[in-house]
Amino acid sequence: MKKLVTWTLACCMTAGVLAACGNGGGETTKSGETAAASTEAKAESKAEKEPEGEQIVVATVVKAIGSNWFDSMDWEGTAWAEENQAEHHYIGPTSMDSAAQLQCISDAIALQPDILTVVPIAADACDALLKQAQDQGTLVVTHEGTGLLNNDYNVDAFDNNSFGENFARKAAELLGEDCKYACMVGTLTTPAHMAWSEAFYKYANENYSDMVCANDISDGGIMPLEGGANADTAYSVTKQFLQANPDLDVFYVCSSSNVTGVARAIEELGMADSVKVLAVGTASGQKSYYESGTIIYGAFWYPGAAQYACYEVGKRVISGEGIKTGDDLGIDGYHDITVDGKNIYGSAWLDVTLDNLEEMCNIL
Amino acid sequence: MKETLKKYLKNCDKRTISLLFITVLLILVIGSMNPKSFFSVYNFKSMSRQLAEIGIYGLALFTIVISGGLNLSIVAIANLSAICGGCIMQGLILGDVITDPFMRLILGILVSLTVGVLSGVINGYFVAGLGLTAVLVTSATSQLFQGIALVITKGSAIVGAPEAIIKLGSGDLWGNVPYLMLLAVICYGITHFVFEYTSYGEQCRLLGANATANRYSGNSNFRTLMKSYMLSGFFSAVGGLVSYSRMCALRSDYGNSLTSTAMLVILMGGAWIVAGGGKIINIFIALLSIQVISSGLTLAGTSNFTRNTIWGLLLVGILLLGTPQIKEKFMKLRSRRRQYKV
Repeated sequence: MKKLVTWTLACCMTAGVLAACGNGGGETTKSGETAAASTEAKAESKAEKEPEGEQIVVATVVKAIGSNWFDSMDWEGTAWAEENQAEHHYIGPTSMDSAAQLQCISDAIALQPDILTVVPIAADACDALLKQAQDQGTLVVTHEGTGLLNNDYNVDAFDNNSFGENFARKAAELLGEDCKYACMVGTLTTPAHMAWSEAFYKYANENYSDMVCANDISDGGIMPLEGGANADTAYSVTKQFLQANPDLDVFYVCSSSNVTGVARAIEELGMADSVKVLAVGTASGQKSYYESGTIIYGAFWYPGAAQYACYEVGKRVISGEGIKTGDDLGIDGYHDITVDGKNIYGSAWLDVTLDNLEEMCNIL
Repeated sequence: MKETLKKYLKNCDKRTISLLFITVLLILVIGSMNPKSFFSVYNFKSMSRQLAEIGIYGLALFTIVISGGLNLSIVAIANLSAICGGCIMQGLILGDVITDPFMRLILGILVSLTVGVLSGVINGYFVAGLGLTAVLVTSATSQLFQGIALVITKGSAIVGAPEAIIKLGSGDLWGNVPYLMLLAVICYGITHFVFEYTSYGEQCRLLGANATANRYSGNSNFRTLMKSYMLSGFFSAVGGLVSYSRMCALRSDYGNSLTSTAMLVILMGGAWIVAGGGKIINIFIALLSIQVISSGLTLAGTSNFTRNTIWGLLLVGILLLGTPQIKEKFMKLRSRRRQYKV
């Protein structure tokens, strides 16, 4: 008998959930709090969509919360929200895992935001969910998401090609045109990292015929090393790679979370004099390696500014103002943007060398 | 009428009632933090899709845990089987032989379920046949399965899915009930039936509680364990298909965080505290409450660290209250108090 009771209760629960779903029609109002709440919500969100509405809802889903890199997107997002009287949500998994990020994106869509910014871990996995966001009328602006299908715009700090090419030029300039290099990305499915590595490889091939690539080559393209989500994996990958390629001259590390692992491995192997690192990522997080000389050159962008730009793009598109080349988004690095189809580039690129280290550390 | 109801409630499993109470409380409290978004249609749909994924992985874990083991390879099996099945569905394997998309879909599902069960057989053979420790075996096979999956996909993702799979992941029955939720409820129903009404389920519980006693009762530990691992492999494969339907892409390294969430669910449902115990209905309610916490807190604007902290607190609390030693101490305290009163 007790089974019967438990099952009845469980059925009631499920029925409750279903009943809440059942109000999807909008017109059919069933009794109960949930029904009232959901119709209310609909009316409110409709009111907000109007241009004169009080408050728009904006949300951003990052790769992982808890690091300065992504938390800066929260700081600037909050700043933007204050200027525009918007409600800002900062969401992300605690570790860089694609499944956890998908759940965060579903929750973010449930907020019914007007603008949703996503920094995808695995772009292909996010596409199906982002379609649902677009279907409910949310404007999707991604960051580091070139190649996504279901986004309205993608804002990047700079043109990915020229960023990668710049590193190839620096490698030739600082280590000679006949150096041997290797590229490392966070994961092979991070579009931005792959674009930089490919640009690096292509530029080196075309301009410096003596430069040697230590990575695998497949189908004429480069297959970079995979450094994983944290410095520890990058550390062991680097150690193994350097044992196989002791004559390497330079490591180009695309993921900011990998750089310290790579630099530590090089220093521990006593190869700091012969192997140098070209780094992407915050200056302050890698300060000691700049000082010891293992990292000879680095470049990064301030992700917070990109966040600000994403929201600004979203706002202008919603208000019907539109977005075009030459527009000023009102934050450093995005005063003169380039629009190429869905992709928007700023010129928000920051160089880091030993000379301007202190100044850059103050930024991030 | 009132008295009979009281009687029912008294006979009812205490954990079920307390879990239900917690869940309803959570819905009200967490829901009130952002009622506009929480009590919306989309949120309930999105929550039920998320909980279907975690819930099915939970079942894959449950069948092993109830027999006293642990399976750390569920996500790896899921990815491998989904990749095998997905390649057939998309015509990457045997594409020339089978051209009808419907046949491809059916064969793909069959293949992925078979791969899941076979992976379960491998796990089961090492654990039950050779008598190795379940945790060691499954973490090793997890690497093995992930490795095979990595070789098949060459490290990158295979994008795209047949129409039916996409519909499973984002479609609703009658416009309002997500297919994934239905699938999860069906899976829970099957498991409930197996573990409440079949002799295999009874043997499983006995094996978990006392393996020696199970053997002396004339049951084969090997066969029971083997069945458990096959069932676990089967549910992992179903979970793999669910994940595939949710993201419409196949990756070898997807979902590493799902194992710990699934563990949390079945632990909260009470499968671990009493060896061989644990009721499916409790696990389902625990699943609801975990999902309410997860989505509700995100909607309320707190970070995922807060969510993890609350999950952790819940777990520790439940473990503490469920440990026999602590229970005994409680009883002693109570009886002492009574003595003083007398």
